[in-house]
Amino acid sequence: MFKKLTLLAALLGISGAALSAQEKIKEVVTSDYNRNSISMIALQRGDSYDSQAASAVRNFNLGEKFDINDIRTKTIRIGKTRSESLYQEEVDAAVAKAGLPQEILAFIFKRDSKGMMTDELVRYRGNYDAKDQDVINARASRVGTDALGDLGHGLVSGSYVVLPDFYKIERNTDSKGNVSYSANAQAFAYKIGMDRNGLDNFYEQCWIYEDDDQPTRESKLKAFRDLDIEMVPVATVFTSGSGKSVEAALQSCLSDVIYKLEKRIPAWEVAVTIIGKRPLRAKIGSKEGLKNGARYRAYSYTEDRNGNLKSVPRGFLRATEISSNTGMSIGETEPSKFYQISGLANIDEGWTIKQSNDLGLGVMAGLKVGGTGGTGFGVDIDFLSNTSNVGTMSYVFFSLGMDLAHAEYLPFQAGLGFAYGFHLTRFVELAPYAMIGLEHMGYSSTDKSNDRFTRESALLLEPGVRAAINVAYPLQVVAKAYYDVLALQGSLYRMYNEYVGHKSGLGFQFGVKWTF
Amino acid sequence: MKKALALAALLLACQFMGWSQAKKPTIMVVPADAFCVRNGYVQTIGAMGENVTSPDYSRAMKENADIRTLVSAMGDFMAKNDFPIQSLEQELKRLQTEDAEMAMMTGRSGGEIEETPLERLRRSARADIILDLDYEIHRVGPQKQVSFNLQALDAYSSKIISGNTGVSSAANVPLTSLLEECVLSFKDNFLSGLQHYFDDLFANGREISVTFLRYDNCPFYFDDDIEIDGEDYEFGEWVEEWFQDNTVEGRFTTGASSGNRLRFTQVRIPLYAQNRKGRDVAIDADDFVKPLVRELRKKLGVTVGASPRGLGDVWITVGDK
Amino acid sequence: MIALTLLMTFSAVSASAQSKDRRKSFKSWDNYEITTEKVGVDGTKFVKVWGFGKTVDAATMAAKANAVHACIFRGIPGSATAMSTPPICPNPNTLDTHEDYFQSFFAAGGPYLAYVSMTTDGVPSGTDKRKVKGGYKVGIYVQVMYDNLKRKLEADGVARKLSSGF
Repeated sequence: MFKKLTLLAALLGISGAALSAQEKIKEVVTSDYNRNSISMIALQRGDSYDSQAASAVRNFNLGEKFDINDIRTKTIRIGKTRSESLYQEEVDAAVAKAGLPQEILAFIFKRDSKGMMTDELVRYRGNYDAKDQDVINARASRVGTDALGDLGHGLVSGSYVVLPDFYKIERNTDSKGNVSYSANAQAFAYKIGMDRNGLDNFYEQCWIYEDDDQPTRESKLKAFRDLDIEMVPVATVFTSGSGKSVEAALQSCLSDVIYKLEKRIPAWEVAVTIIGKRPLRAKIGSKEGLKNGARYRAYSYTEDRNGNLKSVPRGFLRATEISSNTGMSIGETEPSKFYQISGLANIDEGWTIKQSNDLGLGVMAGLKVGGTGGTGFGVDIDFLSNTSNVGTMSYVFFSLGMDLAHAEYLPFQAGLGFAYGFHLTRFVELAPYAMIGLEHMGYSSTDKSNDRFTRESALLLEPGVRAAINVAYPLQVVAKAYYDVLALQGSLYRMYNEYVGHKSGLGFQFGVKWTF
Repeated sequence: MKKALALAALLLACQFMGWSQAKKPTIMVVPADAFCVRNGYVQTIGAMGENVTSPDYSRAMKENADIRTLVSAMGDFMAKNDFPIQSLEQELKRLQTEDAEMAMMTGRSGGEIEETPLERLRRSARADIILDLDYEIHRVGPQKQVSFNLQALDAYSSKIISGNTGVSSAANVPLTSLLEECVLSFKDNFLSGLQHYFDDLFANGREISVTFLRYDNCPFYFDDDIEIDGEDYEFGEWVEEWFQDNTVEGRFTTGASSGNRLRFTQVRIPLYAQNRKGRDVAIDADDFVKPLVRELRKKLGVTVGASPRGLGDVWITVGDK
Repeated sequence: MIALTLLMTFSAVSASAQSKDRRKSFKSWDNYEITTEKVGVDGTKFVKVWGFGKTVDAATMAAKANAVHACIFRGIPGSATAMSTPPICPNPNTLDTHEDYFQSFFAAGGPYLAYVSMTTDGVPSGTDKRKVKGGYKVGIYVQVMYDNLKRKLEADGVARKLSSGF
């Protein structure tokens, strides 16, 4: 029995390894990226929040990156109490009934009441999506740049529907009576199940020509109604948000939804190649929704002995200067600039870079010595606010520290700061910073007065410098050196400090940082 | 390097000297029958009590701008290769004008020009190589796509020299772009087929077929033994011998043979021959059999006639003309 | 495999190659990939061609030479919407007879460069630039001035004119 089991395990292991090896060969990251189009549809539950959900979805701005398919269906109702989340099957069934493929095609081909269609929008999108290489290729071919618009036919298969659903919407009131709302959201993304063959069939069966006679028109109209195209589920994401109003809470969920879907749907991740070095440049920009600090991952290509193509990840970079490329390409698109932040090799011309969204949020944790005093533990959360061509990076950070040596007084420091990082090399960052915050000491007491917190605190000013060294991106080793200045000490603070003994002085912190 | 060039030049020079008299084949683009029928360019002619439908090229050329685009695009690249294409349109016009003029011509004494239907046929538009062109425009929703089929036919043997089929891109662009794309698409393949054909022509001669027919007043059957130059021959055998002597490398195939009919196919004739004055002239099937006809008349003392049925086919009638 | 054969093939154009080897590999120069991209503008062939070299630049040059080589000796396979292109010199003996001519025609910086122009935007990029054993393999888009090339070879007596003999 035992033997059999081990054999089975071994077999499973081998086949698993073989499978993953096969998958590896298949998973070649390429620089193919074409614009996708989205229709947003709010899921409704049949309660009072429906109208707010619909308006939040309607008012949500998808940005430049996606084309919008403004289809007739704006909401789909699923009768289920909002205290529970929806199941995929429930949404699948509702989507299948809604006739969305027809609506998408009708919008894309500007179908009128008589069933007549035009490729005007398709051609516009084709021209708009055309890359410089497409334009240059078109010029070299006989049919010429006139045919660029025909690239739009290939974009029809990139039509998506995103259905956000909000649930567990809660009204919260804090001790001071301020009202806020929180909501959970789930978004279901579907893709039209239509490839180039499907599109050709659609043209053949449903496209009405001016010279078609009445019976032909009738049969084509019927064929359109009977089109059997499915919406294929591609991803589902969860998120939550909060805000001062219901709508604000819902809106905050939505912006996170797109970010998360981009990570789940490979076709949504922008990919392009590097066209120049010093600084690194690539022909994407505002048209692709590129933002300063956006993270991309570089890949180069090799062939193994059997001629199989492999893509090799070669480090990360961040966008610095974003070009405005929202016009039609004429073969000379202005590139955006990038700065390499990791990877052993220098990113080279011709390598592919692919969107690899991150929050730009660094979390550092480590031990503190010195400073206002004591040995303690500190956590910094920094947010990357700007990246420049030469690798200088601006951070806004929140810092929290605790003096563990005098835990009975619960001494902690909290501050908000700004750091400006210089990269000596891409592996080493030196960032001078300044922080303003407070140090607080609390002792269990029956004092309930309003200004108690102030009296237990002191103003803290902290200039310093932080050095971060890449170990294995996104893991860094960080060291901080700083000088803490204590000022405006509260009366209680002063009293407790008699025992704790904190004072202005030089301090150090050592730790690790992970960027999310 | 220099040696190679010199050699090449020498070879070229030899070729020019040897073949300088070869007649350049004439080439003409003709819309395919299938194209004419599909587009309604047909005419019905009453011939011998029967209605025969035949393509109306004249209308096709006049009414269809696309085919003119194709013909001029093809004419352009052929001219660049020193083979100007004969214009079917102009050729048809010439025929019409000729017809009109001939009908009006009267001699001083009131005589009229005589022309048999066979003569008229010979006079009609003809070329050595016919480019049989067919194309169709397909609609794929908002896009158009052109499919084409171009056959180059040896008018002598009706054999296909080069066949080219394919499709253009599917796009919503002016039709002329797609048509011209088609022409550029098959151009080089087509030229290469032509080159191959010419190479074969120079090496093995032109291919024709010859048919002997017996009128009932002919004193012998083709499988009879008859006396020629004092020796007994079967008529067919004697003719075969003549072909052996006069074709390029003795190449020909004896087809169906019977007492009343002899047929020779794949007869390879030289591109040129000497005329009576000793000058090299280009010859066709009719010219090729002329010496044979003369010899038969002289040696057998019977009436022998030759009537060409196109450039590459000739009927020789024995016993009458 | 392809890389290996390409390596052998392309030592032909590398200046350091021995003359004898060069001669030998020049004749076995036929291992490269070429495909018709679309029907090119009049007189040109619009193709995607691959080349191998120690550096990306060398591989790009090799690819250009390959494109011209294909037009002269190999022909270019067709695609869905473009017919195949026959070689300008279909006779297999042409290379033997005119070896010296072609040696200098395809020499580094030789006359062949006048008949090919790269239409790749910038440098070979993405999956068209591959690191392989011993160097790089790149794929580039090029226009070959096929008709001009044909005229040139006809004028130099290497290829026969269609009308020669008439």
